[in-house]
Amino acid sequence: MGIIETRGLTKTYVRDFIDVEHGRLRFHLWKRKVSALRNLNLSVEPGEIFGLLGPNGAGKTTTLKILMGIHFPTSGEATIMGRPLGDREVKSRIGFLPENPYFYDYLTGAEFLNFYGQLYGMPRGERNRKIPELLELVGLSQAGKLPLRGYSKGMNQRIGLAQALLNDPEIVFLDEPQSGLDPLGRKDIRDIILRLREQKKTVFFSSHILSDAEMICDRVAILVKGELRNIGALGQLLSAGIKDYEIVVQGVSGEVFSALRPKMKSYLESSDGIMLMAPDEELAREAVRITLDNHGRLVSFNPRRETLEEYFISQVRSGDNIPQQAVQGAGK
Amino acid sequence: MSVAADSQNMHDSGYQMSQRRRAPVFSVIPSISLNTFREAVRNRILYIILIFALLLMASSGIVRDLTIAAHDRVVRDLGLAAINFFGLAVAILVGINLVYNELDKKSIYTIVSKPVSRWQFLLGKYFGLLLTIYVNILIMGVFFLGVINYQDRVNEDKLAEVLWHQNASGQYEQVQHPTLTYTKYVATSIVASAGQGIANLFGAMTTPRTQYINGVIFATMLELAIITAFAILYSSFSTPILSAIFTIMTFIAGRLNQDIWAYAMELEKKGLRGTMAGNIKYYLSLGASHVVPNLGQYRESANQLNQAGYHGVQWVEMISRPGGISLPAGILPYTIFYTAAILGLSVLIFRSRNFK
Repeated sequence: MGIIETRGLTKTYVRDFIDVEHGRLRFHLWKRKVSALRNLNLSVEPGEIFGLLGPNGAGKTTTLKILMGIHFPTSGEATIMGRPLGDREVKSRIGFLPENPYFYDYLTGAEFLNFYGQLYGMPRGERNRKIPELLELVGLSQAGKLPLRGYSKGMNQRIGLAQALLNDPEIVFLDEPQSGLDPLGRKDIRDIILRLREQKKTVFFSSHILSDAEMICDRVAILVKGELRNIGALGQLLSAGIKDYEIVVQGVSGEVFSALRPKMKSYLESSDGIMLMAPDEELAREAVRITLDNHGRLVSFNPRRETLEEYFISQVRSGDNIPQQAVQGAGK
Repeated sequence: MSVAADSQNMHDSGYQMSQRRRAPVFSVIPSISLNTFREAVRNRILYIILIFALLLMASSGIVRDLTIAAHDRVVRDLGLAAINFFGLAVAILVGINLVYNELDKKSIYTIVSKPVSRWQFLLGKYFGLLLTIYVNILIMGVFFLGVINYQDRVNEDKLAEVLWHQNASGQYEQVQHPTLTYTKYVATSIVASAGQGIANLFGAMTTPRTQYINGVIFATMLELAIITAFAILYSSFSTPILSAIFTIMTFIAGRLNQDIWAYAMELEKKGLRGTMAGNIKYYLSLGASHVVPNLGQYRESANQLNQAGYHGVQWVEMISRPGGISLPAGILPYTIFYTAAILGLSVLIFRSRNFK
């Protein structure tokens, strides 16, 4: 049994004036149903970094909201550390960073962390020790005394990460932790996540960006339109092989490729140079060899894999042809 | 899955609940309250309200000079009305946004993921708002008592005494440096009045008039405890504008409560219940007067204090003996139970809400 388990988790939103759901009791003034999540079965092992990937509107945030007790599932159930959702003991042992977080902007960074420390029931001494440490970790030690009102988006994300780590959690839930950050900020967050892995923490995070996920995730689940499409190591999911080779050369005339040209996936000649798209490695080598033989210059050689975006698109296009065994086997 | 199976699984996977740290239960509420208080204190709107209230009270001297008779009463009623009105303004203008902002800006997301129950969050917000209102009322109260004391100290008769003295031949002559003497006298009066105002509020150096003011301030505080609970209730499920309208409506209906009841009694007495329409009116008004908070009794208690001819009470006496001399019996328990019921209802709504 995993440290996070979901069984048949389903969420249908009913947009209305008052939206109260409690067990079997429901009260709506008027209804407009939107299915956000359908029958999600997941199992996350302790100590793994688990990525929940999918395009916008796939149900990633909904899943996290249900796990955090912000929303209630329409049906299905979930456990964290073997306990039902909303358990206070569990809540004191997890951390959560929501998507595009907002925090009390009238507080300074340090005051904010102090307040959240109180919510965890941390004694004063522990808070005084831990807060500067965390500010240092997320690179905000200079900004601890500034009000959150003046924080940039990246700083907000960092202070959000600090509050998620305040209680030294065993599981950290991160919703789009790297969204809106510059490359340096993304790297910092990635380093922190990797450090959490070293400490044998479990990290459950969502993202719609492949490069965020592929460097750090042990396993990923791919959600599309509220349904689990696939689960496993990222490399296995995306076609492992290379899709094509993009070659850019300069200093040769287009005539030298005349024999090769029909075999290429695409061919583009411009004043800057020539771009060839070779379908396999042999043809790519051939193109490079011709270039070098004719004293041309190889500008770039880029083997291209299928990207997550392309994968999403192919999955969305495939419509209802979901690999059923993947969904059924997901919980295992 | 059964509970037994769950616990079995927990042991299997090796993350049984340790006694690492007990999730706090009650310390969370004061933390949230203090943070709410801090939020209000760092909000400009609170100061705007407070400045208006203080200006109104400070100008009560002008109003007094413009009236023909009952000067004291005009000043007193103006000040008390200001305290009541601006206390209500804080409850509504600050209160309606408190819970809504948390949902709108999604700061509730991280709060709910902490070991904080939703009822603790809501109660924390309530007490934080109440603390804000009470601190405001106390500031207004001290200021107002200070104004009254100042008016007692600095008036034409007193100034004449200070600036003119009788010489041996029985004639009045002005003191030397009248401007300096006047300035000194006014300055010391301001300081002394402020000090006396603080003392009055806590039951020292009182006069019947300041005791009466204390009594009305206390009644206002009780009344606003109920109104604040309503502001929280409404803002737990609707938008700020709607909450404001609902809260104001509740306040008006509450103030009219006794009149609504009297209307039902009148129907009964005059035998107008015979018809269907008469019966509907009777039961509607009777029902309404039972559901709506009875805020009229706080106004009533102020009137009683007034009629008792400045037989005011002191703070400590009043709290230890609610309804003793002047406040109607049971007004304190009534406030507590009514507030608890409204907060309970808010929690019921709030605990099963999907936050957007």
